[in-house]
Amino acid sequence: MEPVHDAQGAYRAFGPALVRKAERLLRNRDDAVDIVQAVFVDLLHRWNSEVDLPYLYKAVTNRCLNQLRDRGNRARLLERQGTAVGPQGRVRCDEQVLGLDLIVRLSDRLDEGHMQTLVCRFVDDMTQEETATHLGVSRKTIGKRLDVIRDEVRAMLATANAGGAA
Amino acid sequence: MSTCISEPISWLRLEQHALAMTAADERAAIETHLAACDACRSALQALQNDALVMPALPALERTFGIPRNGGQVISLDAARQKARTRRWLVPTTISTVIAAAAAVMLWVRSNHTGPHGETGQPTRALHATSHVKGAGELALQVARDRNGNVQTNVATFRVGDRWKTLLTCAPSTSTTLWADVVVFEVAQGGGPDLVPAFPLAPSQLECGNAVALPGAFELTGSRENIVCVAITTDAPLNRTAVGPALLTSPDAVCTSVKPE
Repeated sequence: MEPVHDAQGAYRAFGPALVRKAERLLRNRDDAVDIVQAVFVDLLHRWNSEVDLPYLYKAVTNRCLNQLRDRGNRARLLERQGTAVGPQGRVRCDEQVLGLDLIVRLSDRLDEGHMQTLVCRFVDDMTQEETATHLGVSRKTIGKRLDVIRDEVRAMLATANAGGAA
Repeated sequence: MSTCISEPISWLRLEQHALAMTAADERAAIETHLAACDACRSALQALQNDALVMPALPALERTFGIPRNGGQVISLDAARQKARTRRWLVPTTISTVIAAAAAVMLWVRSNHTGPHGETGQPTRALHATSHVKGAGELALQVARDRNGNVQTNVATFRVGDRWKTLLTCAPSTSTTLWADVVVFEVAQGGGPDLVPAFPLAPSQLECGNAVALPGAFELTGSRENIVCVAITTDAPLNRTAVGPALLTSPDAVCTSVKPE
């Protein structure tokens, strides 16, 4: 691949990969394209050689999480996901594929670092080591974060099951 | 999707692999894994089969026109680019646009005398995006229909063109918004005509992406026109109180259209 020297070039080269990445999380392509365009609009005037695909991946993750935390957006996203193909998930959390509704609820309970870890591991299918490198934290930290995420998922599912049984 | 035989190749690595961005040893490791793993091979195939063409990225700060007397570059184009209300402006990038708009406080520098006769003085600061009370971030776009050819990236008019205004703002159910189109003709001296024109009836605004206000209008004359949309809450605009101050009011968005 040719080296990318500017935001426009990166947009052409990496845009589709980033849209797919956002779409995995948001469950619809229109919003994914919006997110990616917003990332590049931000970058147009402060582009530098440090910006690469992993950096853009992180930027897209942060944008998506902001989108999910916004209550106005989340209702719309949850409504739209009904027409999307279900989550695939080669990496699962306790055999649970983390769908959008569960991720939305988790975003109310977990902080930024945990949510980034969740996305890396369960949406982008990164290994723990890759997640650690990607986020610039230790593998041990990632392990602890994943424990917290699993506990939260279990608690939420238990609550949901109890509600359903009642 | 089937289960991976071990730890899957992440989507990021698959994308890098597909873009030939991986080093030779990494590439070999991935290919070895793919040869044995249906799940990861399917994932790679899915992204390779995705023929996504990215829509054009707006060139936000492209400028045209240099003031004859030197000084600041006129960048109405940038304002229009920001106001070019594609669906994606709302809601994901509205904050981006507004942040960028801070850098686009556009001093429209006159090529002629100012409203008070002072040659070359800035006459007005038009903004096609604004934070409007009750509506939040608001962006204006004008659409021109010339013999059936509808364009939105235009800033000139001829007699016979039909114009519509499109607004983008975040949907809200808490406030009733009214929109009123106000057109000023730039007078010979450079300032806006003191008498505003109201080509359309006021209408209630339901915010969204590039919402077209009801009705179309024509621009006439041989001078620059400034098309504004004034936003009010709960009641229509009091037209008797409208003057050139509207051009810089935070409760209006304006753009300039010149004769060809």
